[in-house]
Amino acid sequence: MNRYFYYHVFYIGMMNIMLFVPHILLKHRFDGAVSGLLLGIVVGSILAIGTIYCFRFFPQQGYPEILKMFVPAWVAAPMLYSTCLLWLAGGVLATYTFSQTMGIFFNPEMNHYHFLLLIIVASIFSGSRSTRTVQFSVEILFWLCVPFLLFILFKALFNPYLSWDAIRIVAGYFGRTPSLSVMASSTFFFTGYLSLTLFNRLNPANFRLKHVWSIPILGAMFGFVSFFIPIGFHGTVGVEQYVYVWSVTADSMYLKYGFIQRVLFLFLIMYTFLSMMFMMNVFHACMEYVKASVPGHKPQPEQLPVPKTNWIICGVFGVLCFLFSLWANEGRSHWATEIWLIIRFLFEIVNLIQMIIFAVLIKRRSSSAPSKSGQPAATSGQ
Amino acid sequence: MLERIEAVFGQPKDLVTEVMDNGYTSMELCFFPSMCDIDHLKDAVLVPFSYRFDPDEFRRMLKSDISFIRSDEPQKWPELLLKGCALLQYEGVVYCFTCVRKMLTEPGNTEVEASLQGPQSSFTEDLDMNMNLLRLRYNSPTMNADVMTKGKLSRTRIMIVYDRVTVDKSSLDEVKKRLESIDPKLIQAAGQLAMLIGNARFSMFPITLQTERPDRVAQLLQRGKIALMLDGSRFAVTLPIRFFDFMHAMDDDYEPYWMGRILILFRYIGMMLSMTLPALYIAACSYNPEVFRVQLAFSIDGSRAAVPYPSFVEVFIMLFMIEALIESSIRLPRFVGSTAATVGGLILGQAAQQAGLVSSIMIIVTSVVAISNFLIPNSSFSYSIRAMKYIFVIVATFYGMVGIIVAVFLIVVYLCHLRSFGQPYLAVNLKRDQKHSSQPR
Repeated sequence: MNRYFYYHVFYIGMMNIMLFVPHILLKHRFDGAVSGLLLGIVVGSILAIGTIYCFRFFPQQGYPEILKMFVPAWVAAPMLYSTCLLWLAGGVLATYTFSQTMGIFFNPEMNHYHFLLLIIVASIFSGSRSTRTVQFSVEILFWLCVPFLLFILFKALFNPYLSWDAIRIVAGYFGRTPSLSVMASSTFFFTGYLSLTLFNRLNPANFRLKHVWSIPILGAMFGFVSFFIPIGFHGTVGVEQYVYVWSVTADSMYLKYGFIQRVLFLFLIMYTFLSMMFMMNVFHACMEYVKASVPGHKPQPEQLPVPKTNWIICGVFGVLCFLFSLWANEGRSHWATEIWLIIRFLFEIVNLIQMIIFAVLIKRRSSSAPSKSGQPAATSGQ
Repeated sequence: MLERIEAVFGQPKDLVTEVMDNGYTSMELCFFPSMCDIDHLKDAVLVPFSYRFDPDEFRRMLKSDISFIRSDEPQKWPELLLKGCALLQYEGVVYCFTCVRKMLTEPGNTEVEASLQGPQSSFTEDLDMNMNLLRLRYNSPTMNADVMTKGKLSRTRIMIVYDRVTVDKSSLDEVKKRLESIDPKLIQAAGQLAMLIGNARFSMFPITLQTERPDRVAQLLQRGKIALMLDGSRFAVTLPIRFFDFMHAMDDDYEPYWMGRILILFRYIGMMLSMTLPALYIAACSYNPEVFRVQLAFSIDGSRAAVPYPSFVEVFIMLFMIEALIESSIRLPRFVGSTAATVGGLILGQAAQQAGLVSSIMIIVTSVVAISNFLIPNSSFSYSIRAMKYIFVIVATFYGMVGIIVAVFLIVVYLCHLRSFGQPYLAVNLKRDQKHSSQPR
């Protein structure tokens, strides 16, 4: 069960590229990005490990169930809606950027909405599945992506055109104070732990997450790779010119042998999978939050056949994606993403504080009346 | 007795109803000669009754011989007769004598799932023979068999076979529940039964595995699966099944480990090629030639120089041709079959390309698709893959390369979404999860 958690950490850590995180960091590469990355490792790990620790007090329960244990339903519902909205916004932004990237690099002549339709239909289908299905799919898709990732990483790190000097120069600027937006971006690499808020439902009662030490390492790796490799390829100044910086970086490498000549396409294949995984999880998590906001809802990780409500809720999400893309253009989506990253960062901090309060409360409850607190946990865990 | 039976059956000409008199006493006898083993009946009943008649011995024989079963319930008589028993009334008591005529006395040869060095025997269309084959291979007291009769008209006997120790209880309950809920008129094939209990009529992939190999059924039983066998079909239905089981041929277990693994790897590659190659061709011709190496893109496009219509039309033409060829070579009688293959092969291989109707690369694509589809060891799964490739073709027609990748994603999600009798269809490392946690699903 451990591994399922790390799959989420993995793909969300990789998704940063679709949310302009490298671009934001690279914009501030001389004023605080490096220190922001280093500080981000500390802050991100504290957020992640703190939340994981708090979730140990709530075996087999997701965030909605925990929330309902402590606050009345009319308070819980708006909180769930706002959480849902936050994640949905992330998903919508990622879809938009993803469809833009694909439009630019894959099918430049294709109508943007036409393409968005495909992604949204796929997201609606995959998001409306049951929680266990999503869990299984994440695993399979992860293993589909890994060879691509390793190959691209290998290709990049051993590329003769990768200028280690440029990397060293930028790495020297670590004495500056990072801005809030840099901090928000650099903690995004660690956000994968938030999957626990929903997928904790599936974890067995005696579940203890192992290898927690690897979270800082994984996050740091994602951060350094997505920040420094573009610098190595494009130089300390040149990197700033690109918005879709990683696509261009991948296009700087080429394969001498093989059917496919440009690494860009391997990169895009991998990112199609990763973005679809992200979309699937976002749609699914949001759907579960909306469903949980109804009082008396019982979470069902396994539901077959797929109920109609799933389709309807995910359909609404799909429509929201469309509406956003009507409003958005490159500049606007960029601006929105930056704001979203900051809100997300603040939300994570609030979330951690909230979880600590809940954990303390449940500890008190169990120490004062062990028989009483055991009961709600058992019923809502089912 | 005879009046009752004639009242139920009318007077069919293939039913023998006789009152036999040997001078001392008389006996009523009725049976279907076509369904009974006449020699057996003669040896066991007619000889002792006629010229070796001894009333005491005859009575003793009727009472003690296990092939004579006393049957006092008249409503059961027609059923017994139809199953191939002979009914005889002696001194006011009705006995049923089992002398079913067996057409098959030896196991069949594997035809669908051939194996090079594995066992060559296969199930037959006789259920008792099949049980014999299975008991021989799975010689354990824990093997359990429940019998059930389904089908209003066909009254097919169905055996539910499983290992009492290893079987997954929830799946067993589910199967029994579903078997009880179905009420078909005729059950003639294992596939039909699988579809009836499969509960997913529109599922794109089979969720039960049909096999004609006793060794495979034995292996699956050992892993806790359930097998359904029915009279009149040489296939057993096994369930719950996982995606990976379909890609597994029995030969893999009989060859050295790494040889088996390599063959399995080839099968997966073949499956992927068979599904995506036509779609990739469309993507490469019409949308994203730049994805592939320049030389390759040029040679693909160059070979299409004479073709007057877009790539997807070409793909549909060729795929239709190859499907028609495969179908016809299955259904046609042996003598004509080779003609079809020759004519078809000639057209597909040479003439179509020279006429400029399709490109030469498309011919290679078509044959790779056809051949790699045959790599899949299970025929119902290979049908699924054959159907799947059209989804890819359609998506690629509209979206090119990205469409194919998204379609792969969707198929993975769909496969993970499927459940075979409550068990996940595509999931890896499940055993380890179950070991780590005692959590019920």
